[in-house]
Amino acid sequence: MAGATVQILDGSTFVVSDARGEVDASPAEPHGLFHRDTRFLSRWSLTIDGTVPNALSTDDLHYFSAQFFLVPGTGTVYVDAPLSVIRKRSVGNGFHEDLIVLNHGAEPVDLDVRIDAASDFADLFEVKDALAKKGEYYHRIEGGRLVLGYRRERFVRETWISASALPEIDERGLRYRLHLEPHGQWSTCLDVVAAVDGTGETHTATKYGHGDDRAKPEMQLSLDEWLATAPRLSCDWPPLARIYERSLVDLAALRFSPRVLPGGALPAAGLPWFMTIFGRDSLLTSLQALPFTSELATTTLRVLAATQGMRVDDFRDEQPGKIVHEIRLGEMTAFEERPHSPYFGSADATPLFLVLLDETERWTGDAQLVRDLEDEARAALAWIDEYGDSNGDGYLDYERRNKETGLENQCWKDSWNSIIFADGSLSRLPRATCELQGYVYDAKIRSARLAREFWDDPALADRLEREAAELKRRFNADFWLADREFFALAIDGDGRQVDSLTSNIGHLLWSGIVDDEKADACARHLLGDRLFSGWGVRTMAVGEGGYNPIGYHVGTVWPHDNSLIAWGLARYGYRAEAARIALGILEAAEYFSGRLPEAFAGYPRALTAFPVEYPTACSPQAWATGAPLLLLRALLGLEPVGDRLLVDPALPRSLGRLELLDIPGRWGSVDAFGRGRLEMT
Amino acid sequence: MAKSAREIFEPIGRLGSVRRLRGTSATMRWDVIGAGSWLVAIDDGSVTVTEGSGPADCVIELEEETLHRMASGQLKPLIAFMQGLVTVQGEPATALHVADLFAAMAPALA
Repeated sequence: MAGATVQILDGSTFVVSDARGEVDASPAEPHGLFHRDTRFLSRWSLTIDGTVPNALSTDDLHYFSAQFFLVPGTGTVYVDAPLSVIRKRSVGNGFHEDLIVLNHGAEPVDLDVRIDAASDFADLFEVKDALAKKGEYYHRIEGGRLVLGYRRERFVRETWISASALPEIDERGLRYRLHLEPHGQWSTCLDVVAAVDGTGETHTATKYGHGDDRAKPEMQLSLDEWLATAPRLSCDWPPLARIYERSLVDLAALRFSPRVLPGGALPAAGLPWFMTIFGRDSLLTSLQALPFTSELATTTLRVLAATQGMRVDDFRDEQPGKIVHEIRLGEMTAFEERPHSPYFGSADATPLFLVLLDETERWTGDAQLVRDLEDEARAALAWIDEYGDSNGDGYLDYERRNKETGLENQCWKDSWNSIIFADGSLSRLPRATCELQGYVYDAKIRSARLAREFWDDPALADRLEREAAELKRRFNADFWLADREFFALAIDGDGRQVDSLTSNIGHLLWSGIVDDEKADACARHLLGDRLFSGWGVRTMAVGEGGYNPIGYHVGTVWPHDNSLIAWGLARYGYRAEAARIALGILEAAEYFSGRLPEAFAGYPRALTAFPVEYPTACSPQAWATGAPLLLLRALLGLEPVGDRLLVDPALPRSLGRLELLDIPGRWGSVDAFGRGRLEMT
Repeated sequence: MAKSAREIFEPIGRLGSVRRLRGTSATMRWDVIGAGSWLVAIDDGSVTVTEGSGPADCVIELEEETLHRMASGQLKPLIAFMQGLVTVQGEPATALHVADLFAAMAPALA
């Protein structure tokens, strides 16, 4: 029972324990109470007469709370256990835990109950590596409270542990010597407060107290309101409603209230380890979710505008106008041993910021947003031209300036071996990956519209359209592999075409940079046996030198990637192909109880019969959660045109009838209906 | 040569309107240990500075040397905050505009 992991969270505060509620951190077991990228408890262990009770069952009641039902003993015979123990834990500014011990026997019992507590105050970056700490630990016992602390210069973090029933306290934890009458019970509340957390304010209490069962999100919309305002879906294919609801609930849990915009909500990248601002992930997830909620997009755009790069700073890969990649708040970031304060190592977030700004206005009609962010949008456009092309070949590329702790690949396929030739050899830096050029093309076309309609700058609009047309012409010549009939993955630092067949060509369709006469070949590749597994499009095609069905970016199937590909195919009129991919991913989602993982293995569907999950740390992952939403958009053919929403469904026959009611937008609300007519072969 | 707190706050008072602070209206008080207090009021991006104490949406406390290092670009405000060199009481969202303030006045301090 100790193997499974239980995760509960509240914003960037979370607890990872085993199924007994035990926290016992090691490099192999990243357990703990984490708050603002620091571990505030690495050990939290309950023993009764020296042994840890066994788990009968565990309930994750809500995303922020869990209940553990335990019995003392060896774990072989539960049925007539004379004692039981309940731990009920709610996370927020630390956690609150109700501990209840029940004596079911006819005899009184004397028990020695101990809660061992310790903290290593590890930075999230240290959790897997067990790095030596540079500061010093301390503890004190004061006013019935155990304080665990860590200090490095002026950087101080403290965990305060207290209980409602007065315990014996020593530096390693709390102890109770209990006498329980027949059929008697005893209980206490335990509070673990992440008290000194670097915010300059001291938290003196946990967010939830005894008996608090209702979530208190730091956002305007509660989960119930969030679900109530989303469009309503019904479908003849029953799993779809479940997948849809799972996506909405998970997206709600992924909401993150930024400090620069209190009350607003933007999507974090993944639970629990990536509950922070991630430029690329927040942008793409907001984009996927636009037909269902525009709040995420609006907040994401405002927050990313507020954190936009201002200066040239090589350590952070920062440049003026660049959109942020990731923000972290732990010790290693504070002492500049990691660059995340914030880090700017992504080449795609800046054009995607412009894409999302335009798309958000098209859905919401929020002209004020476009006017408010005019300066930031212009700065982003300037970054693309001035800094984005480091070698002057006319293509957006990347090469980290922080050689020690910066990211080697600054596109979404950011593992070190993702941008490789068909023979498996590594390409050289700087790398201009193909999808980046598509994003730039799309960003310029869209920004031209914004310049003309909102910024009163037709000259800029004309220039952007000229540049986009020129980029498209050059790109279709320079990246096209005429003999193999697809676009190169990248042009590398030696000016060579990186000739692996990859899913990136689907992003090109989405952006619109592909010449019409080349789209057919792209669609054939995307749905061909080498790229399409039967569930979805692999990141890299079978037969390429680097292909590995369980390689992170070189053969696995990523749901978010597929949602963008399906949207791209639909854009070029390949509706049946888009539907085929959408159906494959949605059928895969059924196997994951509606919650798509970040990635699954690229094995052929015929070989495994079910999709094989790729082990990743986070679940749910934001853009995997957003994938079914964008797939629904592609299937129903939802497209804002002026103040109207165009609905043009093209559905697989097996879905039957699909209704999506009350789609919000500048048109008020619109209903979309479709009936499956496409035969999927 | 390290600038004094007064030499840092005076040019901030001459900034006038700061683009990145548009839409922001808040007052922050800077308690510079051993040097005094300054009130920095932002009214939809328009910045005014008064020497002296008073109520504010957030209070930022730091040493004069830390202020100098932040103002001269040697120390990022976020890093100063995370290391505990700066403490903030009150509304932290207001304090997050410190970076915008220093970026805007960088030319004046150069």
